Amino acid sequence: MSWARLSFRLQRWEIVFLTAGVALLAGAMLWYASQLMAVVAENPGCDPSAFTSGCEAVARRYDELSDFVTQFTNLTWAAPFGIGLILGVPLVAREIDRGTTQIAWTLSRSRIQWLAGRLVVPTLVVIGLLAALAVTSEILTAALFPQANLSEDFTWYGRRGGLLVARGLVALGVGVLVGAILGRLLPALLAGTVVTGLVFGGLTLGMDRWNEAEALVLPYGRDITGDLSLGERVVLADGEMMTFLEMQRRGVGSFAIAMDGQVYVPPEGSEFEGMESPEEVGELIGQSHVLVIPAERYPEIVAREAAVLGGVAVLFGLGSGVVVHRRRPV
Amino acid sequence: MSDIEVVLTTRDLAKRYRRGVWALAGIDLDIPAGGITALVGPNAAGKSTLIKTWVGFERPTRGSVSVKGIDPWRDRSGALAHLGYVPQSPALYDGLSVSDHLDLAVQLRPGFDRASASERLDQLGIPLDAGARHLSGGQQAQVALALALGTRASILLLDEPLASLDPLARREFLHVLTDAVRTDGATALLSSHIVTDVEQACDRLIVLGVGRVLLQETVVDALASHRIGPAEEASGEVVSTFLGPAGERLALERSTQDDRLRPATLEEVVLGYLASARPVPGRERAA
Repeated sequence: MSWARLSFRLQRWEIVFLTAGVALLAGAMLWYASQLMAVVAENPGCDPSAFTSGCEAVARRYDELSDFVTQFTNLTWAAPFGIGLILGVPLVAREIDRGTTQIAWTLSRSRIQWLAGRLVVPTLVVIGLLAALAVTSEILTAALFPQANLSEDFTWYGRRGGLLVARGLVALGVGVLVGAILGRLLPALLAGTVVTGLVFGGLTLGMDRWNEAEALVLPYGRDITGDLSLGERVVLADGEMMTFLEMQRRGVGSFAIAMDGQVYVPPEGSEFEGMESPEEVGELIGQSHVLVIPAERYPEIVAREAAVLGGVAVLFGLGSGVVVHRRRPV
Repeated sequence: MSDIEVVLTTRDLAKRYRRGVWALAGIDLDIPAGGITALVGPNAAGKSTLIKTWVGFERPTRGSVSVKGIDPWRDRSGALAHLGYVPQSPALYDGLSVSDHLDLAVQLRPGFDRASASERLDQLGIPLDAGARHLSGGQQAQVALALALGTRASILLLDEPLASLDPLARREFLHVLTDAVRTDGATALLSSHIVTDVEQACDRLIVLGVGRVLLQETVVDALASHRIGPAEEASGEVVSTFLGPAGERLALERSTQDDRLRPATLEEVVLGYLASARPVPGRERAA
């Protein structure tokens, strides 16, 4: 317990600041969730998401609350990165910056043990704070979409639930590693932010590719509520599938998509005018489709992404260990 | 030195930093067990680099170092098990109290003697509940020393701990150090660029200049084997000549009996050897 107490004291201001921020955010989310639930409970005959006759006031109130709630999802999306970096970067960087590693690394016979010990409290704080946000964001989402079965629904994917925790752990790992390499607090915080952006950019790209490889190709117009949409594709008459960008790269400069999702190109040498119907003047070249992961695969996809993120976090932790083991203490 | 236990050694130790500067240019040292050895030299002589190679903070560019026969770069934890270290600046944790530092040491170092460290600080009037940031420089140095002594390590490496202390704090620090070394039978290596500070406390002297060992001797032998006087009267084995306090040119001679010269003080011995290593214009330090 003494080690936990000392670790907490070494980062107490960050922990207090982040805990207060998360408490405020979670409190606000719960309050809005209770408001949404009250709107639904007080008007059992109304669908609050539709302006049906006699339910206009309910729908208006629900709409107002929804606007605020959507802003919260931006904060819950950003929270893992902020919390992970704020706790991760100073862990080694501040010690090197202030020279305290000279004492710590000679008192401790193993720097790896020292790092592992120092990681325990920040890791638990990241897990605890983001778990709180994960739960409250689930409650808020459930309040906003009362008809949805959120355990099998991609609505607000990555902005609620356990993925917040996994992302926070990766950001923590990035922060620790960058801080250990640079050994200066402020530069490490800036560099950590950039590296986190690059890491998550790469991870998102990779996960999208993986999901696309397993996605269903559904004709345009099909109800995909709750599914994970991975973008649109055009399926040409010969069965070839491509993105709109790829189509343009192949020289199809102008095209139009009809209401039913059919894709037309204008007659050779001309372009579609604003008001004309593409079905009447254009040539049908294919059908627009959407790539989706069906809603029922939500638990599996979340578990898979969390496992990948967990693995990446472990890699950053190991990298931090290598750097700490080899580097100078000042 | 075959019948004396040697605890710290270097063999042809050279260290070059990335910017191309040689901090150590191939030195051989054997530091025997017991007592306090002063490592004296001007700034940038390589004192800190030398100590940091034993602690495992710096990797030798060439040559080897050992702590009780252990290469600290290959087996850092093995070497650290024998070492207590006091860095140049105490570098305590701002947000922790003195007592927290002792708790931290207990957590990090198996066998850390919290009771004796606590008692030592208590005797010096350093409150255990005081925040590290509220301590004076001398008190911070004493806490750092108490942490090193509390490890019960048989070898203490002290990297210019006196540099930023006032004269009274320096005296107290040295008193605690000498007392602890005599009581515990430990070996201490104390680096400093202020000779008067270490003269009373140390048994052995190593003078380091431009990355080389210029003198390695017991303090008693160093004092007995050097004489000093006006440069024109020196006729024996002159170590170097340098300016005296009144601007006169003095010569340090390695001799025991030249009656024209008087016995040299330790400061004059050190100055003489440092003067002997003054860089010649146009010649750079190289390994």
